[in-house]
Amino acid sequence: MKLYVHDKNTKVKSYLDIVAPTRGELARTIGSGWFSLLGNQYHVHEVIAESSENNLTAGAIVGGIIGLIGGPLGVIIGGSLGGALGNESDKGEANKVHRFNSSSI
Amino acid sequence: MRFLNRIDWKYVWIILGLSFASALTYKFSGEIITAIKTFFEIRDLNIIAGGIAAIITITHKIKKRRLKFSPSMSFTAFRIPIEDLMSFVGNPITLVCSISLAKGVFYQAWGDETWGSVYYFPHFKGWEVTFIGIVTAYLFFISLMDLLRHVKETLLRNAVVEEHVTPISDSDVIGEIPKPLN
Repeated sequence: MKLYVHDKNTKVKSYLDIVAPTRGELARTIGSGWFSLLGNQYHVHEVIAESSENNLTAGAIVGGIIGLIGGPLGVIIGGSLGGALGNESDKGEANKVHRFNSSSI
Repeated sequence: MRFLNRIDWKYVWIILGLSFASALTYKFSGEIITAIKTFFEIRDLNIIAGGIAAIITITHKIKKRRLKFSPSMSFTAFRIPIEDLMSFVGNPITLVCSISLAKGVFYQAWGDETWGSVYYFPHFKGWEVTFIGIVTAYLFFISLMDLLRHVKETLLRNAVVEEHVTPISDSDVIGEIPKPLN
């Protein structure tokens, strides 16, 4: 998960160098609800979370390679299970993003 | 065209990739078994794999600045990076352990008269060895995924630059608290 704000001048995403599960936790980590980034003032309410993971494909490939030991069926089972585990990890990340974005202080 | 837009291509590619890989494995099963055997017979494989994993994990921690030390640190502040430094052994040990177990299961499952049947687990029945294989595959999977993530985050330059955040006291704030964005 990555946290960012929209730059007040350029509207481009500026990413924060810290991560927190909620906006309240972010304020506690920073030490204040308000912070400065690239010369602009922001409130933690302006911080948005986005997902930074894509484990589905990697999981399917790694699972398929491990499944090679088990032959053709092993490749299918390993790839499917690897993809499922990767997908589950992506869903967990999506839940974390949703939790952050629906939080406030 | 509208139908094509509705297709989830990511899953289509995974289905095609797995089918293709499975067909290749069926066609070249002998060559693949020989390749896996050659891989397991690499001299000092465990030391090489564990060493590479340890180096990548430490480099990743250095890049992510998890190992911060300063002369004025309190004991608690000093303990955090030390614990982080010590945790680097977790991934290499998992990888080495899974390679050793996979080697045993592979030899027991595929070994024959031509290159020798080696029984790593002589007191285990067939289904017990199957379960060892499943656990080994899982350990292999999590350690390789962890290693891949570390390699990606260590070797690739960040596409996005992360900026440092500085707290502002309430007296210096200009403006009102905005509504939360989502």
